Amino acid sequence: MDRGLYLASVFFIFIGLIGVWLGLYANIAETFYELTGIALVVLVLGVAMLPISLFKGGKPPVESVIPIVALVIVGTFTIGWPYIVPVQEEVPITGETVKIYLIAGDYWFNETNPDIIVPQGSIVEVTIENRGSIVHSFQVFGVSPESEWFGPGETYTFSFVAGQVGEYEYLCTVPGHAELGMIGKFIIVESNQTTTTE
Amino acid sequence: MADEKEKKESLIDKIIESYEWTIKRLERTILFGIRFVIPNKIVSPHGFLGMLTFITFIVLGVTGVLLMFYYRPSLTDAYDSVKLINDEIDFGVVIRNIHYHASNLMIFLAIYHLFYQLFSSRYKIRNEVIWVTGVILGTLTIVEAYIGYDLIMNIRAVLAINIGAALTYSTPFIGPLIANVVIGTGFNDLILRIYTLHVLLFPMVMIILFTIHFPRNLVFDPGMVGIIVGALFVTSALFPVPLGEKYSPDIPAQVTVPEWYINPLYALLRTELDKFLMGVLLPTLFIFMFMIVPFIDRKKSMKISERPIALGIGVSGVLQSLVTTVWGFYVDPDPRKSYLERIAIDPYLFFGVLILINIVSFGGAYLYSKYHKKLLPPPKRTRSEPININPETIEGIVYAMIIVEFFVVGVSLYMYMLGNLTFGLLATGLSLIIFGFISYGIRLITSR
Repeated sequence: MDRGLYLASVFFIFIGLIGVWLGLYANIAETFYELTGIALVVLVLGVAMLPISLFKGGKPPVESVIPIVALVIVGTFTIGWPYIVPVQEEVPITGETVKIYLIAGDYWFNETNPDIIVPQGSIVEVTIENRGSIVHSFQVFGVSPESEWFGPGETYTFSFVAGQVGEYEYLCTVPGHAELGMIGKFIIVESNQTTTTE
Repeated sequence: MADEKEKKESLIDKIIESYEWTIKRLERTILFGIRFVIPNKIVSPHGFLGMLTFITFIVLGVTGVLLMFYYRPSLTDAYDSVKLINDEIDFGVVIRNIHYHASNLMIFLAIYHLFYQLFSSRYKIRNEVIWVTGVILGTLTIVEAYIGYDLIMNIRAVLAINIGAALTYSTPFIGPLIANVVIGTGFNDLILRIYTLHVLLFPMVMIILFTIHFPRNLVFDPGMVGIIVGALFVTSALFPVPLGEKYSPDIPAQVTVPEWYINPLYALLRTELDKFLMGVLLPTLFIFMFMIVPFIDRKKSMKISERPIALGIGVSGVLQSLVTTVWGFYVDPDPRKSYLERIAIDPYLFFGVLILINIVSFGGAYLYSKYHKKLLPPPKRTRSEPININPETIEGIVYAMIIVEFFVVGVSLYMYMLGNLTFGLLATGLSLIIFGFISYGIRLITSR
C-alpha cells in the first residue's frame, strides 16, 4: 500500500463528492453548477487512484478500510441526496391552461405591473413581448425557471406549472431591472377558488 | 501449447528489446542531456507530477499553435474566429476542446505537484532553487491560462478582463505604467497585446524557467503519460467547451463566475474592500508564503509529522484554496436584489472563516507534531504480503490489450474518416489509456 497516494485519493474522492453535491443537489445557488465538472474529474481521479494505492507493493493492512467506510457514508449522502431528502409534494396538474400575455417595456410589465392570479396546478403559458429598448426576461421567483433574455422586438413564450399556493413575485431577471420597477405580484390560489387573470 | 508459449515470449521479448534499443540510442542525444529515467518498476505518479505537467504544457503548445492558424486577435473578429474554429474548421472543435481542458489539467497538476512536494519535503535536499522557480512557474501558468480565456471575448472573458484591468490600475506607482503597456487605449490594443503575451512572451519565459526548474534526473513514465493524455482526450470528447455569449456593450452585466482557478481572487475582490489589497497584495502574500517555505523550515527531518510549519502551511493552503474557490462560485440566487448586492461577500464572515482555517491548521499541525507519537503510535513495520499474480495471466492480459488497442486505433481512424470527431477523439483517448496499461503490463513482466 502506498500511503501518500492513498491519502490523496481519499481526499480527492471526498472533495469530489462534496463538489458534486454542491453543484447538482444542494440547491444553494445556480452558479455552483459550474463546480460539477471539476468535481467530477477530481472524483474520477480519486476513484482511479484508490485501487492502485491500495494494492501497490503488497496487500493493504486492515485499518485502511476505515476511510473507505467513511467515504461510502459521505457518498451515500451526497450522490444519493435526491433519494434521501424528500422532494416537495408535487401538485397534481389540473390540465387547465392559463394564458398570460405580457408586454415588457423599459422597466415595467404592462405599464402597471398588474397582479397575476392563477389557480394551483394549472399550466401557465406566458408570452412576453419586448417593446423596450434593451433585453428583458421573465421569472416567477420560486415558481418558474428563468426565461432566456430576449431583445427589443422579440417575443418569448414559455410555460410552467403553478405549484404551491402562495404569493410570489414575477420579475425581470436582468440585473437591476427588478429594482427599477420590473416586479409584480404573482399569486397562486387553490383551484376551487374563482380566479382572475389579467 | 509449449510451442505457442515460446512464440509468445519471443514476441514480447522482441518488443522489449526494440524498446530498450531505442532508449539506449536516445540516451546519446541532447534529448537525454537531462537524464530521463524511465522506471523499470511501477512507481507512484506522485514522483513525476512535474513531468506530467510539462507533458500537458507540450500538448497545450501543439494545440495552441494549431489554434493560432485561425484565431484573429482583434475586438471585432476574435469571437467570430473562435466560433469559426468551433463550428466550421476541420478538427477545430477537437483542438479547441483539448486546448481548454489541457489548460485546466496543467493548472490542476501544477497545484497537485506543489502540494505533494511540500508534504514530502522534497525542497530540502538542496532543491531550494527548483522550489522557488516552481512556485513562479505555477503562478505564471495560472496567469497564462487566465489571459488565454480572455482571448475569446465572450461575456465571461470580459468579466475577467475587467477584473484584471481594475487590478492593474489599482496598483500604486507601477499600475498605470503596466496598464499603458498591457492594456493600451482600449479593447483593440488589449486583445492584441494579451495575445502576444499568451502565445509568445509567457510561454518563452516559462520554457526558460523550465530549464532551471528541471532537476537533472527526470522520471519519464510512458505509461502514465499515455494514461494522462488519454484521459485528457476522453474528457475533451465527452465535455465540449461552450462558446459562451458574444460580448457586446449593449448587454447588461450578467451574473457569471470566472474560471475556477481565478475564483479565489474573484472571491477576495467581491468583499468590496480595497482592490489593491484584496486583488494584488493578499494573493502575492499567499504565493510568497509558499515561496519561503524552504527558508523557514530548516529542520533536518524529512518527516512531515516533525515539521509543524510546513504541515501548517500545507494544510492551510489546501483549505484556503478550496474554501475561496467554492465561495467564488457562490452568487446570491435572488434576482430581486441588485447585481452588486448579489455578488457581494460579507468581509467579516469571509475573513473570519479564513482566519479560523489558519488557526485550526497551524494549531492542529503544531499539536499533531507534538503529540502524534503519544496519541498515534507509529505502525509496526511489517512487510506487507506481496500479491502474486500468475505471470501467464499478465501476459495474457497484455496480449488481449494489444489486440484491443489495434481495434480501438482502427475505430478512431474510421471515425475520423467518417467525420465523427467526437467519437474519433474518444477512441484516440481510449487507445492512449490502453497504451498506458500495456506499458505497465510489460513493466510488471520485466521487473520480475
